[in-house]
Amino acid sequence: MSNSDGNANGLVKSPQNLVGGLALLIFAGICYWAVADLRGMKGSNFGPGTVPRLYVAILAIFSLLLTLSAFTTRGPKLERMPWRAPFFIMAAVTFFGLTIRGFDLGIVKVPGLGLAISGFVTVMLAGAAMEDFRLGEGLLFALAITTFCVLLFSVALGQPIPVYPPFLR
Amino acid sequence: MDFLTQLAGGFAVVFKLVPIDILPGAGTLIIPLPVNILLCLIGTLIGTLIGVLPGVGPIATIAMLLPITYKLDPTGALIMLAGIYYGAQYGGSTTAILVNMPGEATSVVTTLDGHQMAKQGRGGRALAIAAIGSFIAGSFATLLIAALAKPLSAWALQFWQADYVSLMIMGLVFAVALARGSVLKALVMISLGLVLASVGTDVDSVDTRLTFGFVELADGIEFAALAMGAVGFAEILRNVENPEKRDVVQGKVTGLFPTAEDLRQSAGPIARGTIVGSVLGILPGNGAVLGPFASYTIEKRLAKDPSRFGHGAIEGVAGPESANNAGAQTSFIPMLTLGIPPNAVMAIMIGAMTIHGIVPGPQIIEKQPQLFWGMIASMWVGNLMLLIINLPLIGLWVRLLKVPYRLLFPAILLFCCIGVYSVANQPFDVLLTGVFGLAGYLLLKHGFEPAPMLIAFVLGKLLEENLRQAMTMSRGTWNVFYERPLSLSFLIIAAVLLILTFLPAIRKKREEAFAE
Repeated sequence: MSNSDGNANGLVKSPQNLVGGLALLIFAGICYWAVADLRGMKGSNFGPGTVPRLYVAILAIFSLLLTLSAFTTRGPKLERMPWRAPFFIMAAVTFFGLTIRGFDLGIVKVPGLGLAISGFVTVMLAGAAMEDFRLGEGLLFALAITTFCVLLFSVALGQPIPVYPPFLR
Repeated sequence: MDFLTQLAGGFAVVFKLVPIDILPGAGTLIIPLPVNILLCLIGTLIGTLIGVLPGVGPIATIAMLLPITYKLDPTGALIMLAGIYYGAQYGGSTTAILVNMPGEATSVVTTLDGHQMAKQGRGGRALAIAAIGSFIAGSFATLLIAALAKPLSAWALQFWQADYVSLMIMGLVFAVALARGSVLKALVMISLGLVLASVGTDVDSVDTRLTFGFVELADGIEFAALAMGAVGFAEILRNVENPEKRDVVQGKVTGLFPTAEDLRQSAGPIARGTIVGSVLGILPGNGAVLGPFASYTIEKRLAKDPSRFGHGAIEGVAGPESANNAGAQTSFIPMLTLGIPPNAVMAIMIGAMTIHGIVPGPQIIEKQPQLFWGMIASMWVGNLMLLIINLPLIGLWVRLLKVPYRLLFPAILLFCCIGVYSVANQPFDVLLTGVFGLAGYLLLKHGFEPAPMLIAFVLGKLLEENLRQAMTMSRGTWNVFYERPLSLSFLIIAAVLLILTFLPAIRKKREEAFAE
């Protein structure tokens, strides 16, 4: 084991297992709450809630074991959490999802922009995830890639993907 | 040798000429074209093209290219998909050799000696041996599938639901045992996959489960969204974080023809790798991933001078690459004969088949022999094409790999978004992919591998379905699971394997095997 491992003498010997185990335990809790009201076994027939509750219970048990193992077994330390890459990449994907055809968020309706605009912005946002992002190069490249995608998916393959925003069509 | 006749029939399907109207609408220029073989060619080519991109493995490639097969007839679509799969697999090996960056788990081993060979200027020979080994392994595996398909399907038709349940439980245990890293974490990921599988509308009642009020989740989680997010996006995030890892071989890759000495040294490893890979590929629960590791270990043990390994030993490329391809192909066996996907790639193939209205399982070989044998024959043709077309194209792949990652990954990301959107024309799936990408990245950062989760997700639905039917038929008693000899044997194997995985001695061996 390398020196990046958790503290052998401290209480928490494997911080990764503790954080991961607890997070999944919470997730299991939320899921259990969500399926708690579903009908269970009725005679020999399974109800809609039987199997989900079984699966969630298995998840909870293993997550608990994992959490407890953090105090007994040595394991790797937590890794540094960068924010830049996850932020921009998630922003890019979310933007694409919301604007490709438009999306009704309940409070606001996001307008559809189509692949030509949506794809371009997605590539730009994703590009910004990297430290050595260059604006000029990025713009040119985003333009090229978007054109390529429109030609490939919409023109050549005839995919039913919106290309332009409705107000331009 | 009944299966050889049927295989010949399959070749007839692959080489079939279809009259195609070259100028649609005009009706004047109708030329008979071998459509299926062209689809196979296009599939292998674009499969390789996408698969070469660093960090894009076969799962992401198939999910991305799936929509382009929608308009084809089922046979053509499957032939193309199989081509895409081998292409992606081969592209991943190319990247492993030239960039030291495995596209997916099965080409990790290839980076060890393959990249060293490339650094020493023997990259062309490494790629050639990988292609030759893959072709030999692929040919053998094709024959194996053809020979085993009928007897296995016949056997599977006698399965009860309880047997299927036990078989799937055994598959899940295999997935845990064969996963990299901590056993406990693999168990957690398996259960997480099962929970995600139960999202959606219940089959008997109309109750929705775990949809948290999202109408879009009523049909369950789209597999492409989960796979592309947890594997593809998570991988992109990791690569963006450590960009310095990329190490493209500089200079021209020359000498594409292996020397007689290379061939002599590789013959044994290719033969052994083919057999090891074929056997492991049939195992449920991602056995194929173990093939290259096992082959590498065997070659290192057998070598007169094991210290050459890790410094460009050609045996370290020939063996694992053959095992890799053999396993990739024999993993079709449980999928086609039992309807149970042994790994995530086969799961996505099942998804693709379902879209084309084909339900994989023991009945497929009788009901759709044209499709079944055509697909198997096309596997061999696809492997031959890879061997012929890819070697001249290596220069192109090298140039593609020299494109800086900062330009490459936004394009990959956009392809993935379009791919996920196109599966069902559903923007919600894109957002879902983002959520799974972030979650997958966080899990990966804490040492949780996504592979077992994907297998469990796929098996989860089948498991519930069969479990419910089994319980209804047995009138609510669990006896059926241990009274059926077949079911009992599956459960015993699963239990023994699980105990073995937890034994300290085996656990240590397992860690060593994966560390290599």
